[in-house]
Amino acid sequence: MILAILTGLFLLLVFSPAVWTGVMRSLFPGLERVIYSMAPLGQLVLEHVFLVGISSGLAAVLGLATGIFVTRSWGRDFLPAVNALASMGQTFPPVAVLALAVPAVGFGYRPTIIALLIYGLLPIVRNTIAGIESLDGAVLEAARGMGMTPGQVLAKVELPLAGPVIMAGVRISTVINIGTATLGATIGAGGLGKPIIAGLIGENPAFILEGAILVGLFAVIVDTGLGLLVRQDIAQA
Amino acid sequence: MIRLDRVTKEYFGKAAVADLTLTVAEGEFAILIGPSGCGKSTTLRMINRLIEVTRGTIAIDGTNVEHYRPEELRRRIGYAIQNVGLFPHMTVAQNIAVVPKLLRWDESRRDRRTDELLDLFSLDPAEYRTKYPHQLSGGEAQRVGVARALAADPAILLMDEPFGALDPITRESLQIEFARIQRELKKTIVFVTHDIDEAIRLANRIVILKEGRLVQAGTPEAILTAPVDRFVMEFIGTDRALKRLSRLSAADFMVDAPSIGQEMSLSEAGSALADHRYLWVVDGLRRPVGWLDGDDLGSEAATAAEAMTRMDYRTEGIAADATLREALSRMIQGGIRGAPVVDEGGELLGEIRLSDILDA
Ligand SMILES: Nc1ncnc2c1ncn2[C@@H]1O[C@H](COP(=O)(O)OP(=O)(O)O)[C@@H](O)[C@H]1O
Ligand SMILES: [Mg+2]
Repeated sequence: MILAILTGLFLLLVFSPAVWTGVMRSLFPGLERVIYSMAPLGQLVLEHVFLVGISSGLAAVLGLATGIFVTRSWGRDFLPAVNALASMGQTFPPVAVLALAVPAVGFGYRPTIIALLIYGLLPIVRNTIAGIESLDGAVLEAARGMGMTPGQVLAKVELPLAGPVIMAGVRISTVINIGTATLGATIGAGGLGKPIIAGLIGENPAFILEGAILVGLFAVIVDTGLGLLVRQDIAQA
Repeated sequence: MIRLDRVTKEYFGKAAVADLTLTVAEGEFAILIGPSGCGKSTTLRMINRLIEVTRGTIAIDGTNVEHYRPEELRRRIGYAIQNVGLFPHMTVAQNIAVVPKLLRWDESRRDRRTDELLDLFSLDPAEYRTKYPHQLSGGEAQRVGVARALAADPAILLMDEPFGALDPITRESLQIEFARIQRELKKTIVFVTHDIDEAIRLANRIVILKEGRLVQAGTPEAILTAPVDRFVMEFIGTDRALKRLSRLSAADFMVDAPSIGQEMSLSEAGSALADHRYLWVVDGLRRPVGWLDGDDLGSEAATAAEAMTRMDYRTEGIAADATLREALSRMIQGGIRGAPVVDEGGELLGEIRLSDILDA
C-alpha cells in the first residue's frame, strides 16, 4: 500500500515535473528556472537504475559467494582477512574509490559501477558471515549427523536460516548505492545525480532539491520493496 | 553389530580416546559413561564418522565404516543429541522426514512414517505435524529429535546425552517411554550419558570410560555387584543395592492377587478369607477400592464394601512399569507389606509383597 503510493508519487514527479513548478516557485522565488530540463527525468531514472542494478546485483552475487566461501571449513583461513577488509572498506570514502577508478577505466559509468560494486559488497559480505556464523551449532551438527552433504547443509539449512540477515545486508547495500550513485554524475555516468551536480555548479538550489527528493524517494521505494520480499520469505518459512 | 578395534583419537598428540576395543551386539543397548571429557562423545562421533579415527578400525556388521561415503553411512545410522538441533524453519513433520527425504522416499511413505513415529512418541499427529520447533516444550522437542533419528528405521541409533538438558521429571518420563520403545524396536543403541542412574535404568551393557580408556564394561548388575576398582565404585555411588532395584520393574515381582467383588456378602467373604491373610476388594471395573482382613469380619456390616479398609487405587496402586525401587519406597513410606499392581485404567493386575522384594 505505502509502496504503491510512493511509487505513484515518484512516477508523477518524473513524468510530469510541471506539477511541482508552483511549489518550487514559492520556495525559490528568486530563481528563473526551478525544474531541471537539460535531460528528461525518465532517462536519468533509467541511468540510475542501470548503475545501481548492475552494481548491486553483482555485489549481491559476489558478496554472498565470498561470505559462503569464508564460512566453509576449507575457506575459513580467509575469514579474519575478509572480516578485516570488510570493516576497513566501510571507512573508505566512496569519492576516493571513484577517484581511484577513473584513471584505471576512464570516465563514464564503468568507474561508477566499480566503485558502487566495491562499496556495496561490504554490507552483504558482513551480513552473510554474521548470518551463517550465528546459526545454532546443534542444528548444524544434526544436519551433518543425519547425512546431509555439505552442499545440502548449505542449501537446506544454512542459507534458509541466515536468509533474513543476508537479505538485510542486500537491502542496506542497495540503499547506500542508490545514494552514492549520484556521485557518478561528476564523472559522466549520468543518473539522478545530474540535477544535483548541475544545481551545485549553477548555484540553483531548486535543482539540488529536485534531484535529492527523487533519489530519496527512489531509495525508500526500493528499501520498502526489498523489506516486503524478506517478510514474505519469513512468512513462507 | 558395531565393533571398535583398538580405536585411538588424538588431538594435537594428546589422546581423547585411547586404544578402545568394544563390541556392541545386535539389539544391545550400550551406554558409554564417565566423567566429563573422558571421550564419550568422541567415541560416538567416530562411529558415524563425524570424527575420523587417528588409529584403529570401526566396523558395522563386519564392514569397515571407511568403506562407505560418510553421508551414506550417516543416513543409515540414527543420531540424536543433547541440544536436539531441530531445524527451526521446518515443521515437526518436515524435521522428522529429513532423512527419508534424503533417501528419496516418496511423499506418501514419508507422511505415513511421520505419523507412525509421532504416535509412537505419544504426540498426536494431527496436532503436532504442523507445529514449529519453537512451539514445543523441551520434552516434546527431544521426543521429536529422537523420532527424527528413527525416521528411516535405522538398525543403529547413536544418542549423545539426549535427555541431559531436560528437567528431572521430564527426563524420567522420557526414559520410561524410551525404554518401552526400545523393547518394541530392539535397535542397536550406543548412548552417552554421565548420569549413572540413567545408565542403570536403560542399559543392557554399561561401558565406563576414564581419560579415553575403558575401565569396565558389563551388564548393570555385573558392574553394580563387582566394580573393578575404586574409580568405578566411587562413580556408581554408595547406594548400589538400591540402584539394582531400579533395574527391575514391579511387574517382575508381581504375583496373583486374591480379590473379591465389593458387593460380596461378609459371610461369603469370610470363607474366601480362609485361604488368605487378606483380600483386595474391587469395584465393577476390577479396580481395587479397599482390602479386607480377618479383623474386618467381626463387624456388623453386610457386604465386603462396608467392612473393608478403603484405599484409592489412583494413589496407592503401583503401575506395572514402575521400577521396583519406586514400589519399595512407596511401601516403606506407607508402612504396608503388600501393594496392588494396576494398569493404566486402574484394573487390578496382581500384587507385590515386601517380603518378596527383600528376598531379591
Ligand atoms: N576438536 C577438538 N580439539 C581438541 N581437543 C578436543 C576436541 N574435541 C574433543 N577434545 C578433547 O577430547 C577429550 C574428550 O572429549 P569428549 O569426547 O567431548 O568428552 P565427553 O566424554 O565429555 O563427551 C576432551 O579432553 C576434549 O577436550
Ligand atoms: Mg560429550
